[in-house]
Amino acid sequence: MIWRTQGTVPSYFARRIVRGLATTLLAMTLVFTLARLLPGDPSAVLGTGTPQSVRDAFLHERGLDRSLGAQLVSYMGGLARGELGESTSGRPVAALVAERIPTTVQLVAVSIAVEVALLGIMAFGMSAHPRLRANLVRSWGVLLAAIPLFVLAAGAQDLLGIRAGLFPATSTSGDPRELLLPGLILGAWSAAFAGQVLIRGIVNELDSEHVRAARAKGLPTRLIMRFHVLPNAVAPATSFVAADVAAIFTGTVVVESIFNIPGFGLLVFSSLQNRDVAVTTAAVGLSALLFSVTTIAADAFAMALNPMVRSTLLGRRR
Amino acid sequence: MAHAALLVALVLACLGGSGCGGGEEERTSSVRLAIGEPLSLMPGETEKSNGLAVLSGLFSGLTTVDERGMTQLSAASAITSRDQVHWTITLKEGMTFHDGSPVTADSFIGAWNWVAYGPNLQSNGAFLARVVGYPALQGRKPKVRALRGLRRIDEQRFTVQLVRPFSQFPTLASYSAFFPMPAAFFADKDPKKSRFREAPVGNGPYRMDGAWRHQRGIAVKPFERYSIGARAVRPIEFVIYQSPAAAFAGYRSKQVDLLLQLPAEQLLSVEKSRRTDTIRSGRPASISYLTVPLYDSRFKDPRIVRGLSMAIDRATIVRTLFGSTATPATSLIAPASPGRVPNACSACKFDRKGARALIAQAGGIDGDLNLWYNAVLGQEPWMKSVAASIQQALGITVNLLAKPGIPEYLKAATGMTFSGPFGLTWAPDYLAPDDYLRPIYGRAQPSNWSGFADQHFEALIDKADSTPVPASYRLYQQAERAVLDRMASIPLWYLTNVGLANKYAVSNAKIDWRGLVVLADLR
Repeated sequence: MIWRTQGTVPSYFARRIVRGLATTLLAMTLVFTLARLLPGDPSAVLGTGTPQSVRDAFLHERGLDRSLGAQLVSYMGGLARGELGESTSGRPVAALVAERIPTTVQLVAVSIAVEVALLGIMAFGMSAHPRLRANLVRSWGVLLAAIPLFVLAAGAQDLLGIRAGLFPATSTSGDPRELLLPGLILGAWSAAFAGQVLIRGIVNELDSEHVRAARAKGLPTRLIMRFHVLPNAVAPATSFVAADVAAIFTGTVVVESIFNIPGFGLLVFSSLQNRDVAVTTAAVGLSALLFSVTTIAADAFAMALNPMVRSTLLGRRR
Repeated sequence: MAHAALLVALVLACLGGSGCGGGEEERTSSVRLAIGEPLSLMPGETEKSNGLAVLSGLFSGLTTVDERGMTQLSAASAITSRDQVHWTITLKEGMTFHDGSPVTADSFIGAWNWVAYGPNLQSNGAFLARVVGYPALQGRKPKVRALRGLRRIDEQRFTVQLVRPFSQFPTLASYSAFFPMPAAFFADKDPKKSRFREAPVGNGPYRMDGAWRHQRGIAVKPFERYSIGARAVRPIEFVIYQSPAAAFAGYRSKQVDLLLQLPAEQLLSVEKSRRTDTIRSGRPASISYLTVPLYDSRFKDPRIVRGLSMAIDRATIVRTLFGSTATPATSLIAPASPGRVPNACSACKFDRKGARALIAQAGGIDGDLNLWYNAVLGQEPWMKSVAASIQQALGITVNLLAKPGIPEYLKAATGMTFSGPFGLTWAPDYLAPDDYLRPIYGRAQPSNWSGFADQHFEALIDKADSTPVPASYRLYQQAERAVLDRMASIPLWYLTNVGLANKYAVSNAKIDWRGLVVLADLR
């Protein structure tokens, strides 16, 4: 070995994790500062008829009458001790987040399961007439991706939930079945994007030399697909799905509000409305952390599948 | 194909299955009522309909205001006063809280003291400012914990001494700030009273069935030992919805039986569809109006504001935007309130020529007219119509401007920085003419955002407060006229509360003046 390597696999991930944590902290500082600078007053939750003296006492009790710098320092100090502070409603942020996260994790899990299932159907459905079907899937995907998630979700709620009565139209009890329809929508919606990556992979593979060679040897399409095309085409789509977890998390804000799912997305939404800075900051931190984790996981996955990726990511030159 | 098979199985399970469709469950005896997540269930912190919807079942105050707007005795058997300053309250006998403890004079005195005590941060605390001794309980560390104006006579009786005479006191006492609390509440050492926050123990026809499940629901069941009025029959499940749109979807899919807040965009279509499941309040209690920034010299001349008011075609706007859920306003006091005169506002009729003439007389409006609204309260459609109506009638340029949220709106209102009239809707806390006047136009009142300050008005309101009902009503009407002479606000329309009730699941659903369902009447 005459050239110096840029690093080993463990040190590469160590660096990624440190960078992820740094990004998270930076994002939290930024959001904390921005949210504090926004016009408006957290004491507005008290209602319009509340006298100023009660408002002042409310702000004082929560330390919201101090300077921005002092608030930031004490927030970060709390964070270092593992405290996320208190919501303006007086409840601990950690408890609020802990209360909301399980529902959203379930919703994301259902969505990912649906997405993977749909991608599986796409991939294996290509065995016959791959090009024709690729075009079909592609246009279907473009159509689905072009509809705003809000419209998609509201439409499905109306048709499948209310009119057809196939699914609960809104979440009222926390029964996991209430997550089926929203999960189906989020899954189908993200599969529309991941599907494009998958199809492009399949079409590229179909055009490659080894596939043409296999075809020249008279191998049936089914077998070509199964042994030559899919293994190579699926890899990029799978890492795409892993990174999709973060995207679906963002999509939950819309879907949760339509289906009345009291999850993390709605918490973010209402904390912004109520100028509940501690909650907003914690939520952004969590999203940033999640994004870092899923992208790192996606890269690890891609590395495991394909050694070529490993050398690209580690920066080795041949 | 394994994945595909799984998905198909999943869908089929719903097609044939029992639990997936919302409407297929076996009907239980609970009435399911959609509400939004309450800010709190503490009486001293509850002023919005989401919390009041629940509290109106959990607590019975000294008095209650019935659907016709009349104040009726509830936990009190008598409330008397000779001078409207000193009030003697006698409680009904044999009343108990849900935990079995008796409802006594101390339950009320203790609760009022607790709500009034500044450090407890009760947003309704200011309602007790009428009781003697309130200022001593304010500040960071007040030494006094009890209102000097409250005196216990015996178990069943206590007296209240007010700062000034107030003839509407019995009506005021119906409000949630005046609900009683059980002995266990005061014995609880936790300063945040977490246990009561999650499961209040009241004296009303309903008791909590388990704790508040945040963002999900609140279950209540009839209180077997309720002795104040008729006992409730059906248990109620308050289903918490994050938005009126989601609640409407829940109602349509029969996941809830009662819906009280229709999404704004559905109001008119519900109205036009002539559906048979609408329920509505009697005479309306809420009023929408434009607050006039009297601190802006351009609106100092009442003729200008009268002209603007006459340029608004209320009837057409109401017909096209609200259907029968609103009626054009003709006074500042809404029809549900006792002691109201119709047509108190002489500038509330649409009169294009008259409006132009008045404004010309006053020398015209200096520059464009700015109108402000709040972007998150659903004011946009009607403020647009108001702006268009004024623009067309007067031939002036009207700029419609928005504040992005409630905090911004409040800030501009309290800071008196609005550059033109701004839209508001007032829902009274208690049904008396006083609550449409003093809080909005009185000196140093928290909701006086027009800058209106008038000696004559103050004198009339004070005099009305010290005169017994019904003689006081005439004085309130004179005070109303003082505001209208100055045009501190432009009345627009009164709002009727409209809801939906699935008649196959619930009957006898009535909406009261606050827009709340009369819970104990549900069958």
